[in-house]
Amino acid sequence: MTKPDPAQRAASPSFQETVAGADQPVADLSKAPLPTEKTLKMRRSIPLQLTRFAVFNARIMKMVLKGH
Amino acid sequence: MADVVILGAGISGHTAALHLKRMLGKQAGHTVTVVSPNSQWNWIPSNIWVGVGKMDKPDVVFPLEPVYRKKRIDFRQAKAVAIWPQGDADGERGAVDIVYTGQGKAGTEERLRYDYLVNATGPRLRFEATPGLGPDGYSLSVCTADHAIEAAAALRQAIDRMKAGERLTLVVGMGHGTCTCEGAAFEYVFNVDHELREAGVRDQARLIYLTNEARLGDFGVDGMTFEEQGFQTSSELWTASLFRERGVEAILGAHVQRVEQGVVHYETLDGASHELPVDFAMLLPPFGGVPLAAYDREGRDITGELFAPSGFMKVDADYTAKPYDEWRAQDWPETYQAPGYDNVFAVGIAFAPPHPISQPLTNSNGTVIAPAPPRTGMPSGVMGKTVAMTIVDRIKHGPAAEAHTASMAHMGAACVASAGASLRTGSAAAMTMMPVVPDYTRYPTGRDLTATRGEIGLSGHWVKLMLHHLFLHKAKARLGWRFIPE
Repeated sequence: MTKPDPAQRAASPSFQETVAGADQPVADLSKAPLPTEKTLKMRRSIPLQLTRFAVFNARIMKMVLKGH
Repeated sequence: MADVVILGAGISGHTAALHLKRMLGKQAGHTVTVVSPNSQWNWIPSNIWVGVGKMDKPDVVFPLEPVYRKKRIDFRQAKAVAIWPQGDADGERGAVDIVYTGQGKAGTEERLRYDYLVNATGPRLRFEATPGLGPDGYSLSVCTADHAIEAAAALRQAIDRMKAGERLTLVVGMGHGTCTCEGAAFEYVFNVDHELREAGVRDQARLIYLTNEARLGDFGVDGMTFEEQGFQTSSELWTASLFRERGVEAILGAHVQRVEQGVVHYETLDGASHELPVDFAMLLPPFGGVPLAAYDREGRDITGELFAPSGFMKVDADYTAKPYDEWRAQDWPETYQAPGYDNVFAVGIAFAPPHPISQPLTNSNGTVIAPAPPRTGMPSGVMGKTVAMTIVDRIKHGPAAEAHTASMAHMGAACVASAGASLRTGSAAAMTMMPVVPDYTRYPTGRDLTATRGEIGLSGHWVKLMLHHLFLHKAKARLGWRFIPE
């Protein structure tokens, strides 16, 4: 058996239930966490995003060096 | 002296051609020939931006011939139709039959001899798998730059109607239960969302993502586990949060049965059939292998030996049919060499995957709803370069030289799904995964948690824009191209 422990997956909520009474079987995302105002600001903050840009590129380069 | 023929000039084939020519240097006698029915190279990831009107076609394509002329690579604008891996009645060197599509010789047939063959033909867009699907039917696509231009025009019309006060339903997603490239549809739906917001009509639109994924965040790679703030979380939670934040509805585990004018008919994993009235539908097609016949020296058809029923070429994977629980990372190919032929390779989308990565599901109607494994972008380029290295070694040191390896169960990939194209207000969901094919014998969650990450923010958009310019620079073989990694 090489597949993930089901308990591992169960630890994260799932969103496969559909919205009751909807005209289409759309997923019920009402329990999905919404980002806070602070998180949204951070996602738009130029100084912070410049840092994230550098970190993301470093991660890609590490992956390239390790796995290519 | 060796002749290398590469079928296809997409990411994997073009990468292989450039590296082959670079590594073979100016050694006399060796030839590298690229056969592609298209005269232009297309940076397909940026078709998403063409599809919302943020870029034009010339921003994402360029003519191949000048690049190949500069690099002294032979270019035949033609499609391959048959291969003769054992040679034919005229000789034992392998051969490939091509039919020209351009260069003033459209329709002309030719047989090319090769010492090494790389099949990098990419996907055949199987719109016909779903009645009514595609630009010749009742839905749009962003698979090619021309398709994306049509999609952008239709989106513009929809926005104009909404500005006039109409309330419209827009659906973006997968046009069949066995599609791949969910990341592209995911990216397009959030770019559409961004455009609608910029146009001030988001409240007039119902935006639906219709997918064959059983769970959000599956992306055809069985989802991902992320580690954040000391806790493990899933790509499903992460993706669901974005959908809720943006007000995009999601229909999961769907197989589109047919598309009619203004209506998408689909069934879901519970076996129920549904009708979705739509005003705009961008639905990606399933992929198949580009049809190629294969013959032995006597002219007997051996297509079934070289190719899987899907049309993809068999390589050094373990194609033994076995249950999902027995799938292993080791089943995935390493050298991309065709069984029985140490001079024939298939890379990128052209190779037959041993099995999906996500668990395939079948509904009560017997309909298979199973995202196919992605093998585009970064992994495609790596495979192209790896095979080029193998061929160069075999040319220089003899056919017994060991093949280089690049299993998708060892290599990582980055998926940057733009969610709005703007330098200041844009955003993107940027993901890295290592490896692409989860290996539960090495990692409890299938992947390396330090390298498997997901984040949302403006920087992701910058990354996507940077990759656009870098890869176009590289594909044009401009100064320093070889130092830009695949």
